[in-house]
Amino acid sequence: MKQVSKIYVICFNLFFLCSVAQDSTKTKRSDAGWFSLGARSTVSAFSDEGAGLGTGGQFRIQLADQVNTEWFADYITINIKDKVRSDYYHIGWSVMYYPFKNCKVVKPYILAGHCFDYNRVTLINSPTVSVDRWGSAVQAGLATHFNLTERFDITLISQYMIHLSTVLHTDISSNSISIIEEPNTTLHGHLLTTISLNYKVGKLWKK
Amino acid sequence: MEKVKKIFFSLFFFGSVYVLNSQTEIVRQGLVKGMATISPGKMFGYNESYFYLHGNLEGYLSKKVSVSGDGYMFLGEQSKSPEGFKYINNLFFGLYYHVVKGNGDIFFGGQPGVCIAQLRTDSPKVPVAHTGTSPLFSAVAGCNYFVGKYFNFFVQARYIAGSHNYDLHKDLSEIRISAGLGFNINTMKAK
Repeated sequence: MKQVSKIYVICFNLFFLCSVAQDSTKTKRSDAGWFSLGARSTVSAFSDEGAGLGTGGQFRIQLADQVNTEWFADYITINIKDKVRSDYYHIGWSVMYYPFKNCKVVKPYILAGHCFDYNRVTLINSPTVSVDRWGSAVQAGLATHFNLTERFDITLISQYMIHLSTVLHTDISSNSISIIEEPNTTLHGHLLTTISLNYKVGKLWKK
Repeated sequence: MEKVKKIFFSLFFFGSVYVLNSQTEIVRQGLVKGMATISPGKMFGYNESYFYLHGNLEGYLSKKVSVSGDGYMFLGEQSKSPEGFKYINNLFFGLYYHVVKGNGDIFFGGQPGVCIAQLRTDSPKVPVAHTGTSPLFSAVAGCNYFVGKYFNFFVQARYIAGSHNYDLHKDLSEIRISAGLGFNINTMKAK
């Protein structure tokens, strides 16, 4: 009888340990490995060119619970005083860091990254008059996810992008328009406010 | 009399099968829907109204989220302006969030997109017109009602923001309405 009770005690203990182990694995399930796809709209503001609107897309690869990466492409166009069109093409990446661990619905984060950019400035009524340049830029800012479901989120990003290349400066007077490529001696960039919709497609690796 | 009874029995049988089938959940992961309709639009800031052929293909990633691609092809204008557009074509791609109750489905979402447009050359301000591509933002809201496994009725409104900066600056802000009959099919079995 004692043996039977011993077996019962051992079985109970094993079952208890297993359930505890299962619980702990449940709570320790990592977010690393998630691959997300999304579409985005961007407003460019606070530059000497004025405000503009852009469209683009991105994918994300989450590296750890608190670290995510975003890889994006944007096409932004800015209307300068109805005379000149400035087109920006950005392709780049950002590292996202989540400072707060247990946020489910609203998940704020800090981001910083780098991108390659191409800028073309064209006269609106004379499209043959056009100047372009290739360059590079760095960006940093604050953002937050609004998680509507476990896999779907709306993200709002506000970041400042500093161009590390020459600047195409437009000078519009009453009877002339000039586009000049100047060396970048001052802090030149724009504030980009992006709204994006994203879906977690699946996990690239399990942890 | 026997024949009438048989017809009634058959109708009752097929009717019951249809009702039972339609009671299975239609809006779920794997639902693919598509439609094509005529969509009128009204531009903000100009007395210009256009109408388009609107096509859509949408796939439900879950009961609440779908990925959607939409295209608008210019068909003509209802009210003319000398500085109006010769044509405006659009492509949009984005995600929708759905609130589903029974066969009813209210949705809203965002779709960034592009506009491929050209102005008319009726005005002295536009002696030559070039085709230009411009980025767009669009917000969509609407509802679907699924009738059985293969058809749905839908109505949606879309707000578009953007600017055309080719030959002359024109604001592309517009509201468009689409409604009609759509088709849907479940590509995955219900769990």
